[in-house]
Amino acid sequence: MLPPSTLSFVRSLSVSAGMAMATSCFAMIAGLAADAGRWLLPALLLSLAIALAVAHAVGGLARRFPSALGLRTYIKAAFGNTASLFFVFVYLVMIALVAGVESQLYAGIVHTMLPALDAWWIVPLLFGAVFALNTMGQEVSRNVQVALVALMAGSILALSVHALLPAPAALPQAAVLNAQAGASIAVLPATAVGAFFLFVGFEWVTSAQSGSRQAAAQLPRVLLASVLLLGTVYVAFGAAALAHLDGAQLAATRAPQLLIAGRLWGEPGRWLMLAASTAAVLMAFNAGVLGASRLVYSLAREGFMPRAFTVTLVRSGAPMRAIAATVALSIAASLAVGTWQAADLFGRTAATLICICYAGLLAASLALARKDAVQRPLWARLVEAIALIVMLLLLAAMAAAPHAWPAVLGAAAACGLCALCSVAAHARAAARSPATLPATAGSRAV
Amino acid sequence: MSALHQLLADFAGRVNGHPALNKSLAGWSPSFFIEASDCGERFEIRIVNGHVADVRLSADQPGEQSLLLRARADVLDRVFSGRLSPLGAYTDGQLEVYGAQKDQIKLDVIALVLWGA
Repeated sequence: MLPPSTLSFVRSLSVSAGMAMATSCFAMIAGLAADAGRWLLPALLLSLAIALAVAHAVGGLARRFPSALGLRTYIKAAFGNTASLFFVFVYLVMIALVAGVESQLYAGIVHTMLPALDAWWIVPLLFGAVFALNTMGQEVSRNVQVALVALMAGSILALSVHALLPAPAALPQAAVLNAQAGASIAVLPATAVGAFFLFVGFEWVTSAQSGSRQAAAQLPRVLLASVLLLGTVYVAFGAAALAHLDGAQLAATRAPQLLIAGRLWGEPGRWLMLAASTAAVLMAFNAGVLGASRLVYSLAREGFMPRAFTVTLVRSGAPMRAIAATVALSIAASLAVGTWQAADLFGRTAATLICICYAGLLAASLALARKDAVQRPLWARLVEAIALIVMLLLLAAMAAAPHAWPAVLGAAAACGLCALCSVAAHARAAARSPATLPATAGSRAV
Repeated sequence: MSALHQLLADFAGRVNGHPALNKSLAGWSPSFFIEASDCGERFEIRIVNGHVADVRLSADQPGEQSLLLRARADVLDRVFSGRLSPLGAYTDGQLEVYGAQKDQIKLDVIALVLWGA
């Protein structure tokens, strides 16, 4: 049995890494490898450095506001209530979009292995499992989360190490082809930007309940450890993919882990990777619902969302309707992705929205340090300022690229809607006098 | 008895005297602490089966499973005198709340019933 401090660290780490390490990450690594060839690994390392800077900034905010509601509290303290509501709504939309893309990608992988099962069965089953898990309470779902992350990270690392074990001379022809591929260093920035999205979601743990003071105090270290774990898995897998798949195979596949496992471990390997993908999708959804339902519940309690979302279960304390609302929104996004075949558009839109949220978090960190004249090392502020500039450049680059315009338009529409909702919610709450609230209205347990 | 201690004793009386809370909190016996982060005063609120049995100054450290409310003394003063919404203080990061989800929800119910926010 692990000591309590280690256990709470591992649980928080599993929420953080689990939210980021989704099935789509491996499809994205294959796509980046197809374009960048040998520059994939330097790009992954560069994006790891940027993610560490963001993790440092968010860690500082978590240290400053222990046990707080993550993004909701950080932005509110820096820029006020309306801005905070805007970012929370954007974050919730982003979570739903990612859930939609991820669930359809996973359904595709399952369909490859089990052709009789199609997305119409898999998606409801998947979200039903996550709903059931979350209604049992956060303690249960956090323990399951640890097991899922261990399965996913462990199997991918084992596959990668096995794939790289032979001496360079014995590596497959693909390694030689990729090493000789003509991609120039010019692909590095774009690949690094793409690779940055592999880390997206690690900060979500700050919105999930910490549980204990010790767990809250561990958050800054959890964030850094999570980014390092993710970086290790991605670099190892990226190297394995370059060694075993040539450019055409990398470009064609959406499940490179299945391909490599099939070559090295045969049919059992493919089934193991299906299990790992199941773990990945469950842990990402579980972590997403953990945090999102808490945000929905809190906003409903504050009067910024319908009061119906404050209903909780007596036995576990789980905010049942907030969980149901989060799951329903995710299913709707999944249906939209499946019906319109819009995985790419939704994925890019979500990526744009998360960039906006990260820019908000970095700006909040810098603004709070300035506002309260907090003494922080110059290097820390410099790193955060550079990371903020990188985020803004990334957004500008997206807006300038014609192929990204549909996603930019989608993100702009989502932001517009969220801005309207946040202004309306703030105005509605401000107009309501606390004295007019019935004393027992709102939260109730069932 | 400090001003905060007196406020917490009044709070205990209000919890025990409220019929809706007696029903909602039945069967709830958490390990519950309230701590002033600036002056170090720490109180143990002993709750047995949803009834506040005792409020006492405590030198004990809250356990990992304990329900813990932590804030500056002036914030706790304003929260327990009903001048500051506990939910607002929590969202603003002024009030720290630690503990199991089901215990935090019970605390939320108390705040809602006593102060309507």
